[in-house]
Amino acid sequence: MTMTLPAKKDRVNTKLAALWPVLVARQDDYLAAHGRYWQGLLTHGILPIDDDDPLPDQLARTPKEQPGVHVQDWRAMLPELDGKPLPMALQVHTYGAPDGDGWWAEAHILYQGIHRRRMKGAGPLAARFTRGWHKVFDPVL
Amino acid sequence: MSMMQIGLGIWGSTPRSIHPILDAMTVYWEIDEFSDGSSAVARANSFPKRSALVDINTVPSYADAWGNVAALTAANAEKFASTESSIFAATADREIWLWARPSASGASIDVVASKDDGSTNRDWSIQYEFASEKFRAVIFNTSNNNFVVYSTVAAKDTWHLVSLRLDITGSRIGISVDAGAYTYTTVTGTPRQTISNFSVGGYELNNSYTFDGRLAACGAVNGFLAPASLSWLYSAGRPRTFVEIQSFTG
Repeated sequence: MTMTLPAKKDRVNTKLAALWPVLVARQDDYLAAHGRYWQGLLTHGILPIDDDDPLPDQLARTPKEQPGVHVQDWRAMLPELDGKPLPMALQVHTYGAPDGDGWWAEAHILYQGIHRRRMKGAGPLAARFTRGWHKVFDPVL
Repeated sequence: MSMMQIGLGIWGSTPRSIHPILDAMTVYWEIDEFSDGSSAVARANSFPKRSALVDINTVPSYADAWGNVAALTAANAEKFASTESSIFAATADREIWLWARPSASGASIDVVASKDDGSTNRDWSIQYEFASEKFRAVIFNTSNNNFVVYSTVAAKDTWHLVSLRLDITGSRIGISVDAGAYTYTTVTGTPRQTISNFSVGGYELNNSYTFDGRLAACGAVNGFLAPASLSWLYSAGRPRTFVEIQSFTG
């Protein structure tokens, strides 16, 4: 029997709570070394479905066509994820705003066919890029 | 001479002429700032009290013949976010335009601009459909029904001026490419008006279907552009600078 949605969210939230301070520290290190925050593409090719905890299979992906950017993948940034099953897919985005630069992390799940996500931000627009769990819809196709 | 006469002498004696675009204009982002891709660069609004565009995931510049434009890579989920919401709301007649040069990203649809968070706050969006090589606009009503209108064919890998009319008075939306005739579709019910913010190159929150290609010069007016104004915006074959718009006399 599939766990309930609140249980699934709790499971992801617990994982995120452990990863967040690690990611914050690594981002600070990355900023100090490279002058910008790090962007991490989606860790999974297919979002974790219901109770599944799939291995993150996209850890080697890096942003492309950004010639001035120091390339670093998830394995270098957060090796703790390598080879470990995850209840959610992760993604890290960066931003540049008039008030300064920042970043946010996203957790994605597919629960009973519905794509859901939560976001947590850092930097001057942290509040804007922090959202609780919400549904994600694709375009009308 | 009374104080009123003095006042009229200072402020009222030379009536200001009506500018064909500026008087109704609410925002204009030229998106011509340089970015070599090594760091994110916010894009300024020509109306300083309005929101700049926040650069999401580092949008590099491409030096086109007329200057810098934004070069977005969909695989990186690159896009721009504003904090403008009400001035793009489908509560009154408005027109929004920008220059776009779509490239094949592998997705069936790319989002060009939107007031739609890709979540629960969905108002409207401008998209590009690769199969048909047409731009299209999608709007939702308060019953969550959607209405779609397609432009005429607009080849990919080519610059186009795409313009969306939110014709609330006429209960319809229309889309024009390269200053051509608008195609319209009727919208029944009340268009949705949510808290979602205007974004360029994607939805506000959903990071899928981000635009792949180049974008430049995005503007909006309350009401509609006059046909002569739209033609003028297109006639240079490149985005007009804000200074040029200020000099336009219709």
